Amino acid sequence: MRDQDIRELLQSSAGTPDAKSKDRFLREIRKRQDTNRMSFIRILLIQFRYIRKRVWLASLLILILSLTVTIDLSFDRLTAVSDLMPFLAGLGMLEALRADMHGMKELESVTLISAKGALFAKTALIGASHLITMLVSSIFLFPSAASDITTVAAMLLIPYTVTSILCMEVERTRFGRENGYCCLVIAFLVFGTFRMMLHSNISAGTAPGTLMLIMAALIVLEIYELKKTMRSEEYAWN
Amino acid sequence: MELVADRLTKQYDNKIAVDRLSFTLKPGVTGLLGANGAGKTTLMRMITGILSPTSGEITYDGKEVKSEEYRNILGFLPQDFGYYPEFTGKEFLMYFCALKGLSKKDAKVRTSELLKMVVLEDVANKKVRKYSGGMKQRLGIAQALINRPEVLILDEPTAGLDPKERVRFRNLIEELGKESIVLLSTHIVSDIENIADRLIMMRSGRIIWDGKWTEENGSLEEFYLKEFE
Repeated sequence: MRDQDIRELLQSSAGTPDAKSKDRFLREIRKRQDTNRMSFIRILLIQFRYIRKRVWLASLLILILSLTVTIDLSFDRLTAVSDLMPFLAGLGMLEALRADMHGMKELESVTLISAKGALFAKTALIGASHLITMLVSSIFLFPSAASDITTVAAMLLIPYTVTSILCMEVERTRFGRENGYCCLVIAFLVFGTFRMMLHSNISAGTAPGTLMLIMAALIVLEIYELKKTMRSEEYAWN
Repeated sequence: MELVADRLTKQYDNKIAVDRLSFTLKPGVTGLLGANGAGKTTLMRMITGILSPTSGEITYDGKEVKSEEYRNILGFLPQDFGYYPEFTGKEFLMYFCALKGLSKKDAKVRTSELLKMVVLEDVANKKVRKYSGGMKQRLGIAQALINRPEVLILDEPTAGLDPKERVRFRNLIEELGKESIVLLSTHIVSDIENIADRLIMMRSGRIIWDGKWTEENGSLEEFYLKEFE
């Protein structure tokens, strides 16, 4: 007998249960089963579906811009790509922290994943995609830049980490939570500051060793801020 | 099925929002009455595990309210809730189905059942931001029922509902109370007068009345007005 026939036979021999009986039956079944613990991969896949396209498009834009530089070596756009980094970080933070901005956190808190789990998954996905973008961009940009690879990496990483650290700091305040677009204002400020003062200092004159040290310190600070933001999820209401 | 709160206290700086509350909830509808600032929302947030008590504890059949097992059987409608602006009603429910661990196939079936239950199937594909207050509230109620909760916590669920919707909602809650522990907070007496199996009245973080309100007790509305105004 084919599966289809078995299904039809079962359907004809047992009527559809009413909603109440179905609820009661499913509750009984649940009591006899262990809670389905969601794997981290599944949590990532769920959150991946709900991250807006603009986040991925921003990464793509940076990659395309970096690739353009590689094709046309006379076209030095390292600073231009570096200029976009605060906006990439700001957009990413805005996306990761938007549950709070739109008042979804309380509802997410009582789900199997919990608000903390959802935030962690979103941050991990966005952070990983940005890391890949920066790595690939560094490789694309290096041949055209008149500097060493450390300087290229610093030009991308420093504005990115400074923006995301500031965004997390602000987002943990009440003002930041209520005004999610603060992240984009911060991105603008970092962009302006780097344009006016820091780009030239990084690209000319700063020793690679010092740049490495600054980048390492910023990465440590970023991890610390991330931990603080995750912890604040637990205590947000307390 | 038993939710036990034992000497539950929540203090914010100098203010005690919930003051040494002890009670046990069993299946049925429990109405939580109190004026604004009585501590109802704080109590409900502690029961859902969102808020940690300063002292005391809450358990459900021995499980901690912070555990995944408890969240698996919990339904919650907060007083105010938001939504991502790009979500339609259907997408909103699908999102919470996913967060509550339902597979895509089960989520589709459950979403359609719930949209039908709260009479939103005709506007399922409309953006939530275009919904009226009552429609949003019904959507919130639907999301609280996704996982067929054994413990259902509803904070001011009738806010924004028109009289007809209110009656439908009361009937739904009455039905749910037969199988689950339902705790419903409100400051509108008529919302719970006829459906609550038990009433808990709060003032300044303390319980001032706990029990079934019967006709011998007189008019609940009058008692409430006397106590809270």
